[in-house]
Amino acid sequence: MARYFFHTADGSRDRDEDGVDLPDIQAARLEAIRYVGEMLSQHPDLLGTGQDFCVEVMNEHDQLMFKVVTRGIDLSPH
Amino acid sequence: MVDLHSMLIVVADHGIRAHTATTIVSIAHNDLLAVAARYPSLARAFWFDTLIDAAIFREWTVNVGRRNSRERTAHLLLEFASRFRMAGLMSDNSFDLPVSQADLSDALGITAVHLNRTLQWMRGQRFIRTHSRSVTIENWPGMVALAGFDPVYLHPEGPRQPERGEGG
Repeated sequence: MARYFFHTADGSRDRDEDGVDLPDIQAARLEAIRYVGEMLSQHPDLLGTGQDFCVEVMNEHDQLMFKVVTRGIDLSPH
Repeated sequence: MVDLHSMLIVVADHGIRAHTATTIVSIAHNDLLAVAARYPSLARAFWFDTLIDAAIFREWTVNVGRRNSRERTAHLLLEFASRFRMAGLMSDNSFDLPVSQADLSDALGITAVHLNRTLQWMRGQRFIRTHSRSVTIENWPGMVALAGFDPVYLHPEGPRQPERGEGG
């Protein structure tokens, strides 16, 4: 097991101070993707303001290992 | 009483797991049936116990299906707190919760990351405090408002009593 930290950013950054113990980086990737899915499902307005919603997976050495970026793009004519 | 359901349900459709050292006293199904037949007040108590289970299951369905992570986590913590309080096992709004975050997130149907972030947020808002394996509800009204928690489904008033008491 290793500890991974999942920072979020939706305009402002929100650091994960605790982290979560997971078997490996592959598990951490899947966890990050599921977490983004839960956040978008529960808070669809996260993408309604033109901001990205990102989750960054850091390892114990504060190295960025994986990043999920979601973006809603408004294409309606003005 | 744990698994009172199996008193009448012949084939077990679920398992039960203890999270702490537990003293188990098992009572034969047939003995329960006999005592319920002999003492109607005990039969009502058994029935009531399974009705409380059903009420908790209904709330659980709403919790996992409809509430967002903050709401459902708050709701479960308040349910634990309320049940500990009813059992006289809570002091200063604190109770033991010897459950890993992995198990708790599984029970809530959210990722461990999401639960962890939710608990960090609750601590930051001073809704709760956590120390190793115990939880303190710091802001009870705030948690109730967040979760939409109404403890009526736990029925602390107890079962309806028969109006003319030949029963037990």
